Amino acid sequence: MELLKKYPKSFQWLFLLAVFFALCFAIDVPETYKFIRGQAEFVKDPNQSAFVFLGKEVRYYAFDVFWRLPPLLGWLPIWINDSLFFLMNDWMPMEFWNEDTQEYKTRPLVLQITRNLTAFMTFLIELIREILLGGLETIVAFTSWDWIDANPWAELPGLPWTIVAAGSAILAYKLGGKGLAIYALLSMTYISIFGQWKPSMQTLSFILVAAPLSFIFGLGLGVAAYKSKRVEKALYPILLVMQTMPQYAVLVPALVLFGVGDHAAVIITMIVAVPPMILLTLLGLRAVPPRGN
Amino acid sequence: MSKVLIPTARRDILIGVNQVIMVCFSMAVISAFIGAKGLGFNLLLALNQLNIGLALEAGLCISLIAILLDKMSLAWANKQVDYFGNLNFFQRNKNSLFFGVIVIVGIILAYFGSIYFKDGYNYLFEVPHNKGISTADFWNKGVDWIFDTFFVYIKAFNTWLIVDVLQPMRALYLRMPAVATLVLVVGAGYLIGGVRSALVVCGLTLFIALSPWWDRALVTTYMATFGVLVSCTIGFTVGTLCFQNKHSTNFMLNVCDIFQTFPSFVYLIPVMMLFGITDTSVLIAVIVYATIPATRYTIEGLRSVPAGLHDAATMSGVTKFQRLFKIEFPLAFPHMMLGLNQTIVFALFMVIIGAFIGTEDLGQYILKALSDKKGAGIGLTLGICVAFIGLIFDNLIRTWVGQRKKHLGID
Repeated sequence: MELLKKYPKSFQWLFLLAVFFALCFAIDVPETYKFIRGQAEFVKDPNQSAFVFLGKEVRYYAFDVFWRLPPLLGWLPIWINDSLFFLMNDWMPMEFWNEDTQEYKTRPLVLQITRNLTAFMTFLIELIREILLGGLETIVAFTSWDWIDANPWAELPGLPWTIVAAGSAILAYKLGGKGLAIYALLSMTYISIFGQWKPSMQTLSFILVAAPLSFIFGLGLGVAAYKSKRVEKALYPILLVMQTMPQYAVLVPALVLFGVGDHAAVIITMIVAVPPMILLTLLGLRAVPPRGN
Repeated sequence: MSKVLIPTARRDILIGVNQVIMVCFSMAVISAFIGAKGLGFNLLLALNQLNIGLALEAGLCISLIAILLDKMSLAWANKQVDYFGNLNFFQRNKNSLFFGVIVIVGIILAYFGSIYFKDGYNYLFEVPHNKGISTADFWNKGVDWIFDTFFVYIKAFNTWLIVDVLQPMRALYLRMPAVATLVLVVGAGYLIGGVRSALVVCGLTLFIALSPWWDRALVTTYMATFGVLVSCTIGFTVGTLCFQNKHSTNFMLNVCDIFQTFPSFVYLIPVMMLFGITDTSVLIAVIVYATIPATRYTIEGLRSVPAGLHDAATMSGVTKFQRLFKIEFPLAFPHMMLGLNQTIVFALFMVIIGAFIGTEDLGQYILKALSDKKGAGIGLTLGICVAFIGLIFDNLIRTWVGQRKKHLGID
């Protein structure tokens, strides 16, 4: 009895564990239960139970409720999927001016927005990529292909790697001193000598777009959340989920919304990189003593 | 706002920038799945060919650039602007001028290069892909050699681990009735954080239990638990050992930096070549990846112990071990628990990636959803399920750490 008074917490834990194990032993494994492997769950089986919710049919193997709960949320993925497709293809069709065909065209609103967004992202990426690797896309975007044909000097090659490497070393020296400069020079030289220059610059170009954008968005949203309690309350659960969510679960919805390519990569990276930025901004602003206001 | 608040909150914002850059580079590989060009794409190609050497080189490039950008942005943000009115034009624009000279020299070099390397590639302009030096063969041969030499031992270890440890553990997890699990989790929530915590945890668990993937979630949890247990043991030990010496601390933190930015996919190949398509391979990759935050937070936790206490302890004549166990560990414990939190997130992430090796957990279904035209909803729901597994632990640990901190009087 004295022990119980001395360590009440430990006894509560012990009691919890006892209940847990008692339940484990009390509830038997159903004879029909087996771990479903591979594609077996997609096979239609007469033993399966089914229910219909919101017009979506969910099939499942029914067990004792104590053993496994029935998948009452089984309609959720199908429903998310269908609403996403509805949004993209049928929701709010509107008239938009089409540059290529020179006429008005009916298009769903969301599709138009995502298309414009991707075009903007692609432009930014190409801009940086052209400086680093050489290319025509941006000049063409400002002028036209005919103009390029007339002025062949505009076909600039990219910067040679020697310049980029030395340039980054100088920048590093200016920012952080000798050590950083040597590190910059060595790593750039390594990348070049090992023949990874082109892919590296491609990756760099999309990160140089994604990182500043997500920094700006994160800081902005963080400040907004700091200023208004309501924004914070709305953002916080989403942030928590986004931070623990494995990043490539977001890939599939983004694939549907933005298609395939570098622009989609930038948008996805932003989606993943903004939450930690918001949280840390909020944390930092909170730590400021209130008299500073 | 912009004059007072943001500069004062600078420290955390800087950590935010660091996080953004790290995340961007970890996404560099993942985004290759949806058609981004660049290093990530090459890395995936190398992975498909099981060419560990090539993948290693591409991965190293990613972490080199990541660390460079990270250090540069940190240095930029920390830099104080100096005003010197009495400098002349040359001194003020020293760096830009120097850069101008470099540009001209570079262009001349490239031009000469185009004359010198007449029929090949102009190496002074751009070293073409796969035409540079490559150490790929060395690494490939290294892994082959390890496999050839230690095949017997690896095989024995693998079989032992799977038969005697992993399979029973997995069976135990699957043997848990849903209700028992609920009781355990909710009870833990109640004991740690009261009714509120219990309700939150109950909601999170119920979502997973009512989704069609409860069994898979159990498998994911089993792998994550095993990974977290082992990597915490390693991480806490290594962190404590390294903390005894200042140089080794810094060295370890740098190693953590490199490993964290190193694309996690690269860990998968050598492991898969050595241990085959088994849970062991996934778990070893998980352990390698999840040890990073465990080590880092242990070191930082021990660092956060006030120096005064340290000295006071030394003065009152305690031995090194006594000091470590009686003073430093209890004080550093809240911080270390936050490390545990990160370790769980990292482990979950790697378990999901492990689907590429071939697992039977939630990750496998996410992978399937990727190639499915109607997979958007499934992918998102599964992602939320994984996030909720993480959040259950996150909630429990965070509440507990908060109480502990209050108890110790820190913060």
